[in-house]
Amino acid sequence: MAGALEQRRAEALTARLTQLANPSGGWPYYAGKKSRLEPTCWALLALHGAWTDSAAEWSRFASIHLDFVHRCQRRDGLLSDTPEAPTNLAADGLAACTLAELSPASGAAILPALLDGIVAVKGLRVNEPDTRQDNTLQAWPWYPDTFSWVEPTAWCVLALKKLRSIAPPGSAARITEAERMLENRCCETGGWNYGNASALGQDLRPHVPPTATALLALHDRREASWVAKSIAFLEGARLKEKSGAALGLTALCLRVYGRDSAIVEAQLADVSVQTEELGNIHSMAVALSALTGDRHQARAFRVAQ
Amino acid sequence: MSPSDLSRRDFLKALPLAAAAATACGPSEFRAADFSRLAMSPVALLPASYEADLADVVGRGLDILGVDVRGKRVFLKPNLVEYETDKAINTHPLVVAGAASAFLSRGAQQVIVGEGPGHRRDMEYLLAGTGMIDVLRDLRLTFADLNHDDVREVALKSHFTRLQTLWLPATLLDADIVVSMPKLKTHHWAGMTASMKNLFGTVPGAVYGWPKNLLHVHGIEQSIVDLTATIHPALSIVDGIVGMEGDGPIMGRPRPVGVIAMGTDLPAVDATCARLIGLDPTKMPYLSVAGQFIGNIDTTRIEQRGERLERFQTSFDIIEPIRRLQLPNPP
Repeated sequence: MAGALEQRRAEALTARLTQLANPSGGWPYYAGKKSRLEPTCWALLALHGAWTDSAAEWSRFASIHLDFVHRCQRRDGLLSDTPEAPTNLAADGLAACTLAELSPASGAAILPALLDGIVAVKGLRVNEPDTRQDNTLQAWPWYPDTFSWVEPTAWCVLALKKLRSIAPPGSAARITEAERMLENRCCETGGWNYGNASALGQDLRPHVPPTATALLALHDRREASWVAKSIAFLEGARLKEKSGAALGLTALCLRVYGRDSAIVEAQLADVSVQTEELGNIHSMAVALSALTGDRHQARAFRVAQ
Repeated sequence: MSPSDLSRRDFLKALPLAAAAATACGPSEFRAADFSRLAMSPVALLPASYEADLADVVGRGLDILGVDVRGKRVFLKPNLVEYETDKAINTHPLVVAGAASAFLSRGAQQVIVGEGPGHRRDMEYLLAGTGMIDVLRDLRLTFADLNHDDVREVALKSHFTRLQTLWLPATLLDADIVVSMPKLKTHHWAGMTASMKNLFGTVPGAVYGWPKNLLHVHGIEQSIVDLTATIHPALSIVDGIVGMEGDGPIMGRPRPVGVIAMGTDLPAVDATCARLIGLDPTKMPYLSVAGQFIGNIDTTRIEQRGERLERFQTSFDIIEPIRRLQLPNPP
């Protein structure tokens, strides 16, 4: 059970996130800026997890923010918070997970096209030989017509797994190849950085946030040796990166894997004061989601196995 | 050939920078009327240590260069990449603190610090780990996370990347004076990273992702030139107190040099920094090209102010892939 400090910090973050919503819907990365997809989805997930009023009150509160997500949809089905700018596939994958969790009814209006859009985008196949890395594997890029990287791949894989029943044809094959790509980019020690396990012949080190994100997408593959090695890495590094986002993602990930997350949540409660001071709404929302994990059990990041 | 069939090498082969460096830039890469180079570019070299009064050091540099910041919104762009206790990877927070204090004491309306790291998106981790958060607190400075700022599409002023526009952070674009504040480091691909390469951190990750692969695909050196031509910082303050030699910009070793280099012409500052560490700026394609239209890199058009270059010249350990860029007789 969460301790008193964790509960106080969750209440403080709940109040702050509620206050920082833009009146026209959605949340920006930082107060006073334009609403963006990623902080909006995380804030919705976090506040839903912390919500204590009635379901009707939640619907009233959330509708304007879900409308913002819906307004981001483009003709190709993908979501874009900045018209004319490249679409961010990591945010699109997260948005699909969010809609699946919070708004299956209203999400039905945009989810099929969003999933079509996600499946239609493939990272570039690069034919340059590389002894360590198979650059022909195609998963998801940050934005269309570029190379595949860990974070967008993880969110798109998780979205397609969560929404398997309405995912378009070809999804299963995309998931399979994306998992091969994640295995290929796994660092020697286990874990991931943004997506290169080595450079110029040197092994590169994994980072905590992309490791936790990739592991969320792979929790139905926990028996695979490279996934097991990566969860071991994350457990070893669980307190090393002291930020709201790193500790929050770690706590959520450990919870999904059924590991003890209490010590991470306790540390997060301390660090979240700094997170709030720096004002990154995305990080604050990740922290809040982790601090209220006892209530929602990280359901938004789980898939049926 | 579809984009999916192109190799990264094919992309690079198609780009014009090496040819431009060897000959002269053509009208397709930039409009000459958009640029004017100084007849002589002053570069100040100031002895410094992390124990010194760095506000005084930077202030003297501003005086030497005649930079007036009264009433201006000044944007400081340090280099924050990765946090490791035993490495000299990042611009030291004390140099940023010194610069901010110097600008404020000379009448700047506001000083904003901003960065958008390319390997890490977790800004809180970097600010806390590097100690930059203490500088922000002590001086009550605003921090702009350039990876997650509002963005505007900007027409590039040169096109060596073949890109016409880039989305850039609004806070950076709205500043009156942009100051590039790099760490002086070797770079295993570009030779050296200083004032110009530091601008990679202005490209927003929330749009282009992590790493800033757009810039790699379109050519690191080409991107350096296009970003410098477009953002056109008014000033550079290089943290060369302790630099990085060997396999920079992350895996190298700390190397004390004891200098703060400052100037209003970024190619001139970077050319001077290259000579400081034993590299030949005329052999570095991005500096050669920048020297044709953005600023000066020839010693005959750089006026050394403060201390003499020779006082700080240090022969950095240069790894094999970039050894071709060394001066014929490194210091």
